[in-house]
Amino acid sequence: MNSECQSRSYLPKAALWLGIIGAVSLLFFNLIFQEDWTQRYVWLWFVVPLPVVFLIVAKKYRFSGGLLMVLLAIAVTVIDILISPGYPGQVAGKGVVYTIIFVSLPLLLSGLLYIIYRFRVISSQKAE
Amino acid sequence: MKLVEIKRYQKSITYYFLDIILALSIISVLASSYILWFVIPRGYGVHFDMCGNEGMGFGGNYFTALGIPRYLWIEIHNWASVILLGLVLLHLLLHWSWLGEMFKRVNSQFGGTVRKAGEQLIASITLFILFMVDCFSGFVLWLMLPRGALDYFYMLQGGGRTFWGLQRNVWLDIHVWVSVSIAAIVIIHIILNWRWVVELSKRIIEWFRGLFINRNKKESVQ
Repeated sequence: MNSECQSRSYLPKAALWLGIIGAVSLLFFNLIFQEDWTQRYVWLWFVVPLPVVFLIVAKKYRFSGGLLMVLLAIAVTVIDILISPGYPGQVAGKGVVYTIIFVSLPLLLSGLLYIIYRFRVISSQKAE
Repeated sequence: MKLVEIKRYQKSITYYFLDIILALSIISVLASSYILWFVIPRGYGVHFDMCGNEGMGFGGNYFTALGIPRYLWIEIHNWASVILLGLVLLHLLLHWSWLGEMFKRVNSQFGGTVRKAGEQLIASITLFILFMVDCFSGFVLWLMLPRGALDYFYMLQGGGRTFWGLQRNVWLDIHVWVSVSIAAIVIIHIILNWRWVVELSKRIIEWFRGLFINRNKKESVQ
Protein backbone atom coordinates (compact mmCIF):
# COMPACT_ATOMS: atom_id res chain seq x y z
CA MET A 1 0.00 0.00 0.00
CA ASN A 2 2.79 2.34 0.95
CA SER A 3 4.72 1.78 -2.27
CA GLU A 4 1.47 2.12 -4.21
CA CYS A 5 0.87 5.53 -2.63
CA GLN A 6 4.40 6.62 -3.46
CA SER A 7 4.15 5.57 -7.10
CA ARG A 8 0.75 7.22 -7.32
CA SER A 9 2.00 10.51 -5.89
CA TYR A 10 4.66 10.47 -8.58
CA LEU A 11 2.05 11.00 -11.30
CA PRO A 12 1.09 14.68 -10.65
CA LYS A 13 4.78 15.64 -10.43
CA ALA A 14 5.53 13.92 -13.74
CA ALA A 15 2.41 15.52 -15.22
CA LEU A 16 3.59 18.95 -14.03
CA TRP A 17 7.05 18.54 -15.62
CA LEU A 18 5.52 17.34 -18.89
CA GLY A 19 3.09 20.26 -18.75
CA ILE A 20 5.98 22.72 -18.39
CA ILE A 21 7.71 21.14 -21.41
CA GLY A 22 4.43 21.41 -23.36
CA ALA A 23 3.93 25.04 -22.30
CA VAL A 24 7.41 26.08 -23.49
CA SER A 25 6.95 24.17 -26.76
CA LEU A 26 3.57 25.83 -27.30
CA LEU A 27 5.21 29.23 -26.97
CA PHE A 28 7.61 28.38 -29.81
CA PHE A 29 4.77 26.84 -31.83
CA ASN A 30 3.07 30.24 -31.70
CA LEU A 31 6.31 31.99 -32.65
CA ILE A 32 6.42 29.82 -35.79
CA PHE A 33 2.90 30.96 -36.62
CA GLN A 34 4.15 34.53 -36.21
CA GLU A 35 6.21 33.87 -39.36
CA ASP A 36 3.02 34.18 -41.36
CA TRP A 37 3.58 37.50 -43.13
CA THR A 38 -0.09 38.48 -43.26
CA GLN A 39 -0.37 38.45 -39.44
CA ARG A 40 -3.51 36.31 -39.61
CA TYR A 41 -2.69 34.36 -36.50
CA VAL A 42 -1.97 37.09 -33.99
CA TRP A 43 -4.89 35.75 -31.94
CA LEU A 44 -2.85 32.60 -31.28
CA TRP A 45 -0.92 34.55 -28.64
CA PHE A 46 -3.95 34.14 -26.42
CA VAL A 47 -3.19 30.42 -26.38
CA VAL A 48 0.25 30.90 -24.76
CA PRO A 49 -0.86 31.23 -21.10
CA LEU A 50 -3.46 28.45 -21.43
CA PRO A 51 -1.25 25.49 -20.38
CA VAL A 52 -0.05 27.45 -17.34
CA VAL A 53 -3.68 28.21 -16.39
CA PHE A 54 -4.61 24.56 -16.96
CA LEU A 55 -1.70 23.39 -14.78
CA ILE A 56 -2.92 25.68 -12.01
CA VAL A 57 -6.46 24.26 -12.45
CA ALA A 58 -5.03 20.72 -12.41
CA LYS A 59 -3.33 21.38 -9.09
CA LYS A 60 -6.73 21.74 -7.45
CA TYR A 61 -9.00 19.81 -9.83
CA ARG A 62 -6.93 16.97 -11.27
CA PHE A 63 -9.55 15.62 -13.64
CA SER A 64 -10.73 18.96 -15.08
CA GLY A 65 -7.18 20.26 -15.49
CA GLY A 66 -6.10 17.01 -17.13
CA LEU A 67 -9.04 17.04 -19.49
CA LEU A 68 -8.30 20.64 -20.49
CA MET A 69 -4.66 19.69 -21.20
CA VAL A 70 -5.81 16.79 -23.41
CA LEU A 71 -8.18 19.09 -25.30
CA LEU A 72 -5.42 21.66 -25.76
CA ALA A 73 -3.09 18.96 -27.14
CA ILE A 74 -5.73 17.94 -29.69
CA ALA A 75 -6.51 21.59 -30.54
CA VAL A 76 -2.83 22.35 -31.25
CA THR A 77 -2.60 19.50 -33.76
CA VAL A 78 -5.86 20.54 -35.41
CA ILE A 79 -4.67 24.17 -35.63
CA ASP A 80 -1.44 23.06 -37.30
CA ILE A 81 -3.30 20.91 -39.83
CA LEU A 82 -6.01 23.45 -40.63
CA ILE A 83 -4.29 26.85 -40.56
CA SER A 84 -0.67 26.26 -41.44
CA PRO A 85 1.35 29.45 -42.04
CA GLY A 86 3.65 27.85 -44.59
CA TYR A 87 4.96 24.51 -45.71
CA PRO A 88 7.76 22.34 -44.27
CA GLY A 89 11.20 23.62 -45.27
CA GLN A 90 9.91 27.15 -45.64
CA VAL A 91 9.93 27.98 -41.95
CA ALA A 92 12.32 26.24 -39.53
CA GLY A 93 10.43 23.91 -37.23
CA LYS A 94 7.28 23.89 -39.34
CA GLY A 95 5.59 20.52 -39.78
CA VAL A 96 2.72 18.63 -38.23
CA VAL A 97 4.99 15.74 -37.15
CA TYR A 98 7.12 18.10 -35.04
CA THR A 99 3.99 19.72 -33.62
CA ILE A 100 2.64 16.33 -32.57
CA ILE A 101 5.93 15.08 -31.08
CA PHE A 102 7.17 18.23 -29.35
CA VAL A 103 3.97 20.15 -28.50
CA SER A 104 0.91 17.89 -28.45
CA LEU A 105 2.55 14.78 -26.96
CA PRO A 106 3.87 16.41 -23.74
CA LEU A 107 0.53 18.21 -23.25
CA LEU A 108 -1.42 15.01 -23.91
CA LEU A 109 0.75 12.90 -21.58
CA SER A 110 0.50 15.57 -18.90
CA GLY A 111 -3.30 15.60 -19.15
CA LEU A 112 -3.55 11.81 -19.19
CA LEU A 113 -1.32 11.46 -16.13
CA TYR A 114 -3.54 13.89 -14.20
CA ILE A 115 -6.65 11.94 -15.24
CA ILE A 116 -5.05 8.56 -14.36
CA TYR A 117 -4.01 9.94 -11.00
CA ARG A 118 -7.55 11.12 -10.29
CA PHE A 119 -9.00 7.69 -11.18
CA ARG A 120 -6.43 5.92 -9.02
CA VAL A 121 -7.29 8.12 -6.05
CA ILE A 122 -11.00 7.38 -6.56
CA SER A 123 -10.39 3.63 -6.83
CA SER A 124 -8.19 3.58 -3.71
CA GLN A 125 -10.84 5.54 -1.79
CA LYS A 126 -13.48 3.01 -2.87
CA ALA A 127 -11.23 0.13 -1.81
CA GLU A 128 -10.81 1.67 1.64
CA MET B 1 30.39 34.12 5.78
CA LYS B 2 33.79 33.72 7.42
CA LEU B 3 37.03 32.58 5.77
CA VAL B 4 36.73 29.15 7.39
CA GLU B 5 33.24 28.81 5.95
CA ILE B 6 34.46 29.92 2.53
CA LYS B 7 37.01 27.12 2.59
CA ARG B 8 34.27 24.70 3.58
CA TYR B 9 32.04 25.89 0.76
CA GLN B 10 34.89 26.35 -1.73
CA LYS B 11 33.67 23.54 -3.96
CA SER B 12 30.08 24.83 -3.94
CA ILE B 13 31.24 28.39 -4.66
CA THR B 14 33.32 27.17 -7.61
CA TYR B 15 30.27 25.30 -8.94
CA TYR B 16 28.11 28.36 -8.35
CA PHE B 17 30.27 30.72 -10.41
CA LEU B 18 30.77 28.09 -13.11
CA ASP B 19 26.98 27.70 -13.25
CA ILE B 20 26.61 31.47 -13.67
CA ILE B 21 29.02 31.36 -16.64
CA LEU B 22 27.09 28.35 -17.97
CA ALA B 23 23.79 30.24 -17.61
CA LEU B 24 25.23 33.27 -19.43
CA SER B 25 26.46 30.99 -22.19
CA ILE B 26 23.01 29.36 -22.49
CA ILE B 27 21.37 32.80 -22.63
CA SER B 28 23.73 33.94 -25.43
CA VAL B 29 23.03 30.77 -27.44
CA LEU B 30 19.26 31.10 -26.89
CA ALA B 31 19.26 34.81 -27.77
CA SER B 32 21.19 34.23 -31.00
CA SER B 33 18.86 31.28 -31.82
CA TYR B 34 15.83 33.48 -31.31
CA ILE B 35 17.24 36.17 -33.61
CA LEU B 36 18.15 33.64 -36.31
CA TRP B 37 14.85 31.79 -36.07
CA PHE B 38 12.33 34.61 -35.68
CA VAL B 39 13.86 38.08 -36.14
CA ILE B 40 15.89 37.59 -39.34
CA PRO B 41 14.79 34.15 -40.55
CA ARG B 42 15.78 32.64 -43.83
CA GLY B 43 13.23 31.16 -46.17
CA TYR B 44 11.37 31.82 -49.37
CA GLY B 45 8.12 33.67 -48.84
CA VAL B 46 8.37 34.75 -45.24
CA HIS B 47 8.29 38.43 -44.32
CA PHE B 48 6.55 39.25 -47.55
CA ASP B 49 6.06 42.87 -46.49
CA MET B 50 9.82 43.46 -46.25
CA CYS B 51 11.05 41.64 -49.31
CA GLY B 52 8.19 41.39 -51.79
CA ASN B 53 8.03 38.12 -53.64
CA GLU B 54 11.50 37.02 -52.79
CA GLY B 55 11.25 36.68 -49.04
CA MET B 56 14.47 36.55 -47.08
CA GLY B 57 15.85 33.52 -48.84
CA PHE B 58 17.91 35.49 -51.31
CA GLY B 59 19.24 38.42 -49.36
CA GLY B 60 18.56 37.17 -45.85
CA ASN B 61 22.22 36.99 -44.91
CA TYR B 62 22.60 40.75 -45.20
CA PHE B 63 19.65 41.65 -43.00
CA THR B 64 20.71 42.95 -39.62
CA ALA B 65 19.48 42.63 -36.05
CA LEU B 66 21.00 44.92 -33.39
CA GLY B 67 23.38 46.15 -36.10
CA ILE B 68 24.84 42.71 -36.78
CA PRO B 69 24.19 40.95 -40.12
CA ARG B 70 22.65 37.46 -40.18
CA TYR B 71 25.82 35.64 -41.23
CA LEU B 72 27.63 37.10 -38.21
CA TRP B 73 24.76 36.03 -35.95
CA ILE B 74 25.27 32.50 -37.30
CA GLU B 75 28.96 32.68 -36.39
CA ILE B 76 28.11 34.04 -32.91
CA HIS B 77 25.59 31.21 -32.45
CA ASN B 78 28.05 28.54 -33.63
CA TRP B 79 30.95 29.63 -31.46
CA ALA B 80 28.80 30.37 -28.43
CA SER B 81 27.49 26.80 -28.79
CA VAL B 82 31.03 25.41 -28.93
CA ILE B 83 31.85 27.28 -25.69
CA LEU B 84 28.61 25.98 -24.17
CA LEU B 85 29.52 22.41 -25.15
CA GLY B 86 32.87 22.80 -23.36
CA LEU B 87 31.17 24.23 -20.26
CA VAL B 88 28.55 21.47 -20.22
CA LEU B 89 31.28 18.80 -20.40
CA LEU B 90 33.14 20.55 -17.57
CA HIS B 91 29.89 20.73 -15.56
CA LEU B 92 29.37 16.99 -16.12
CA LEU B 93 32.97 16.20 -15.15
CA LEU B 94 32.67 18.22 -11.92
CA HIS B 95 29.38 16.53 -11.03
CA TRP B 96 30.55 13.04 -11.95
CA SER B 97 30.76 11.87 -8.34
CA TRP B 98 27.32 13.39 -7.64
CA LEU B 99 25.88 11.44 -10.57
CA GLY B 100 27.42 8.20 -9.28
CA GLU B 101 26.06 8.85 -5.81
CA MET B 102 22.58 9.59 -7.16
CA PHE B 103 22.62 6.37 -9.21
CA LYS B 104 23.50 4.40 -6.08
CA ARG B 105 20.81 6.11 -3.99
CA VAL B 106 18.12 5.66 -6.61
CA ASN B 107 19.12 2.02 -7.12
CA SER B 108 19.20 1.24 -3.41
CA GLN B 109 15.62 2.32 -2.75
CA PHE B 110 12.86 4.17 -4.48
CA GLY B 111 10.67 6.59 -2.54
CA GLY B 112 10.87 9.23 0.17
CA THR B 113 13.75 11.66 -0.15
CA VAL B 114 15.28 9.53 -2.89
CA ARG B 115 12.39 10.56 -5.14
CA LYS B 116 13.82 14.06 -5.53
CA ALA B 117 17.23 12.62 -6.32
CA GLY B 118 15.56 10.46 -8.96
CA GLU B 119 13.88 13.51 -10.48
CA GLN B 120 17.17 15.42 -10.57
CA LEU B 121 18.92 12.42 -12.10
CA ILE B 122 16.29 11.93 -14.82
CA ALA B 123 16.24 15.68 -15.63
CA SER B 124 20.07 15.82 -15.81
CA ILE B 125 20.43 12.73 -17.99
CA THR B 126 17.60 13.80 -20.34
CA LEU B 127 19.12 17.25 -20.58
CA PHE B 128 22.55 15.85 -21.42
CA ILE B 129 21.21 13.43 -24.07
CA LEU B 130 19.11 16.15 -25.72
CA PHE B 131 22.05 18.55 -25.60
CA MET B 132 24.26 15.99 -27.36
CA VAL B 133 21.57 15.46 -30.04
CA ASP B 134 21.34 19.22 -30.50
CA CYS B 135 25.12 19.60 -30.73
CA PHE B 136 25.30 16.80 -33.28
CA SER B 137 22.51 18.29 -35.43
CA GLY B 138 24.20 21.69 -35.07
CA PHE B 139 27.51 20.30 -36.30
CA VAL B 140 25.72 18.62 -39.23
CA LEU B 141 24.15 21.97 -40.19
CA TRP B 142 27.41 23.83 -39.72
CA LEU B 143 29.96 21.43 -41.20
CA MET B 144 28.29 18.60 -43.14
CA LEU B 145 25.43 20.44 -44.86
CA PRO B 146 26.45 24.12 -44.75
CA ARG B 147 24.32 26.79 -46.33
CA GLY B 148 25.18 28.39 -49.63
CA ALA B 149 25.23 25.34 -51.91
CA LEU B 150 22.39 26.78 -54.00
CA ASP B 151 20.19 23.77 -53.47
CA TYR B 152 17.41 25.58 -51.63
CA PHE B 153 14.75 24.90 -54.25
CA TYR B 154 15.96 21.31 -54.75
CA MET B 155 15.62 20.95 -50.98
CA LEU B 156 12.02 22.19 -51.05
CA GLN B 157 11.27 19.61 -53.76
CA GLY B 158 12.93 16.85 -51.74
CA GLY B 159 16.09 16.58 -53.87
CA GLY B 160 18.58 18.53 -51.76
CA ARG B 161 21.81 17.39 -50.07
CA THR B 162 21.36 14.76 -47.40
CA PHE B 163 23.24 13.43 -44.39
CA TRP B 164 22.13 10.03 -43.07
CA GLY B 165 19.20 10.26 -45.47
CA LEU B 166 17.88 13.52 -44.04
CA GLN B 167 17.85 16.84 -45.86
CA ARG B 168 19.19 20.05 -44.37
CA ASN B 169 15.72 21.39 -43.54
CA VAL B 170 14.90 18.21 -41.56
CA TRP B 171 18.16 18.53 -39.60
CA LEU B 172 17.27 22.17 -38.95
CA ASP B 173 13.77 21.24 -37.74
CA ILE B 174 15.23 18.60 -35.39
CA HIS B 175 17.83 21.10 -34.18
CA VAL B 176 15.29 23.81 -33.33
CA TRP B 177 12.72 21.55 -31.68
CA VAL B 178 15.28 19.68 -29.59
CA SER B 179 16.63 23.06 -28.44
CA VAL B 180 13.09 24.07 -27.40
CA SER B 181 12.86 20.87 -25.30
CA ILE B 182 16.28 21.67 -23.83
CA ALA B 183 15.07 25.15 -22.84
CA ALA B 184 12.05 23.59 -21.10
CA ILE B 185 14.15 20.99 -19.25
CA VAL B 186 16.69 23.67 -18.22
CA ILE B 187 13.76 25.44 -16.50
CA ILE B 188 12.86 22.19 -14.70
CA HIS B 189 16.55 21.62 -13.81
CA ILE B 190 16.70 25.11 -12.25
CA ILE B 191 13.41 24.56 -10.37
CA LEU B 192 14.74 21.27 -8.95
CA ASN B 193 17.97 22.92 -7.79
CA TRP B 194 16.35 26.21 -6.78
CA ARG B 195 16.91 25.77 -3.04
CA TRP B 196 20.65 25.21 -3.57
CA VAL B 197 20.87 28.31 -5.81
CA VAL B 198 19.00 30.52 -3.30
CA GLU B 199 20.93 29.30 -0.24
CA LEU B 200 24.33 29.70 -1.86
CA SER B 201 23.38 33.10 -3.32
CA LYS B 202 22.41 34.27 0.18
CA ARG B 203 25.72 33.07 1.64
CA ILE B 204 27.77 34.73 -1.12
CA ILE B 205 25.83 38.01 -0.81
CA GLU B 206 26.36 37.86 2.97
CA TRP B 207 30.08 37.34 2.43
CA PHE B 208 30.34 40.29 0.04
CA ARG B 209 28.33 42.46 2.44
CA GLY B 210 30.58 41.38 5.30
CA LEU B 211 33.66 42.37 3.30
CA PHE B 212 32.21 45.80 2.60
CA ILE B 213 31.07 46.42 6.18
CA ASN B 214 34.42 45.28 7.64
CA ARG B 215 36.31 47.58 5.30
CA ASN B 216 34.10 50.52 6.34
CA LYS B 217 34.70 49.70 10.03
CA LYS B 218 38.48 49.56 9.51
CA GLU B 219 38.44 52.90 7.69
CA SER B 220 36.36 54.54 10.45
CA VAL B 221 38.79 53.19 13.16
CA GLN B 222 41.78 54.58 11.26
